[in-house]
Amino acid sequence: MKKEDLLLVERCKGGDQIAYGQLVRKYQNSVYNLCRKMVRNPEEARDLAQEAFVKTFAALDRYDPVYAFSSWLFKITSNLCIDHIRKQRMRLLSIDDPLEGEEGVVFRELSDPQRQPDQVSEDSELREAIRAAVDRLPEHYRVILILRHQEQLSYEEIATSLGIPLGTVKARIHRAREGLKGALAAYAP
Amino acid sequence: MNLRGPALQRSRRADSMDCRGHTDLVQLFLDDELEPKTADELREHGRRCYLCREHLDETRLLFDLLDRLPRDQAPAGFASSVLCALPQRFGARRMRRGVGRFSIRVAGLGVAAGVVLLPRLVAHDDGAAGLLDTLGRVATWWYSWAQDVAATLEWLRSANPIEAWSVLRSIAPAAGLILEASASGLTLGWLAATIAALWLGAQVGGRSPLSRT
Repeated sequence: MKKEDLLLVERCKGGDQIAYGQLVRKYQNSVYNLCRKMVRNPEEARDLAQEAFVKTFAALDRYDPVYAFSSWLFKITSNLCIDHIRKQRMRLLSIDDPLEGEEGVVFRELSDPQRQPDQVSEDSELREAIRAAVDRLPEHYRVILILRHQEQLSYEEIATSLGIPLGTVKARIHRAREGLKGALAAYAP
Repeated sequence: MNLRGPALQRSRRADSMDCRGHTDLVQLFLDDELEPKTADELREHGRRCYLCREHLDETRLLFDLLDRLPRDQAPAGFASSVLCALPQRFGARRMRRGVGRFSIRVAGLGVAAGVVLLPRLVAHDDGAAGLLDTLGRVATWWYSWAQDVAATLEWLRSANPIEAWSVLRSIAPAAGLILEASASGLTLGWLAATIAALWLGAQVGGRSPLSRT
């Protein structure tokens, strides 16, 4: 897979947009899914995913073939998403944002008036709860969880993709999951 | 000879992991990121400790829920929209980069063409009204003609079939204008003015005319 991507990248560097089309089609769902999980809004996710591919194309000359193309693409995508979220936060600090402290990730305990546990099955309620809890994680925790559980990247691949040390990946993913466990404690049988 | 020695050592090895160590390593274990030896120790501890086994099951459930989070699919036409965005952004940038020093000469040519053109316009048979009419047409067509020509050039560079319609659209008015300009004897002036307009559009606008589509 890596070799196939490298061949396509080489063709792209020669100005072959058809080759880039193949790369876009190959990774569009992964990139869009990452953006969608990061920013929630479908329109913003679409814009960010498109921006990620355009930026990647523009920076192909700086791509280091030592690393997988997908890692590099995820790096650009996650940086775009995190920048976007931070800019948004500058404009509006959400009350739903979790707090980060020395003990890890802590969610504010707020009741959700729209949630009606009796009306939905336990399984779908749990799935919805986990989705909502992931949404409320700080962005640099969320991106790691998505890369691990949805893209099935190893810790090392995540570290490469995000440009952070392996130890940081381990610490963040551990804290994120522990934070989720805390948030889901109310749903325990 | 101590016959209990090896058995005791095995027992100690099996208990070498305490509950705290187990808790810390459970996630790495489920992520398959542990050394085989440590993974064996963790399994062994789990067999002996009910609380740690329960913790392992809880964590496994969380992993399962995370793995089963629904994946969002890119919307229909996403790849095409990305490919359409590439020439818009990079075509304009390459065009700006390409003009470079040459653009200064082209601008000079445009000014020179204007100087040559002006006496002809002044000597127009229809007098001042005809001059104003001609200048108005020049101003009106200048920008749109430059856009059409730029679109054609950009299509030739990118060879993107998606933009074929834009190119077809651009050829007709451009050809018509050349014929019209030839008929009025102002071919050189029109061509020079067009080149100057192309340069101006690339320098000031920075956007591809294809972005209109």
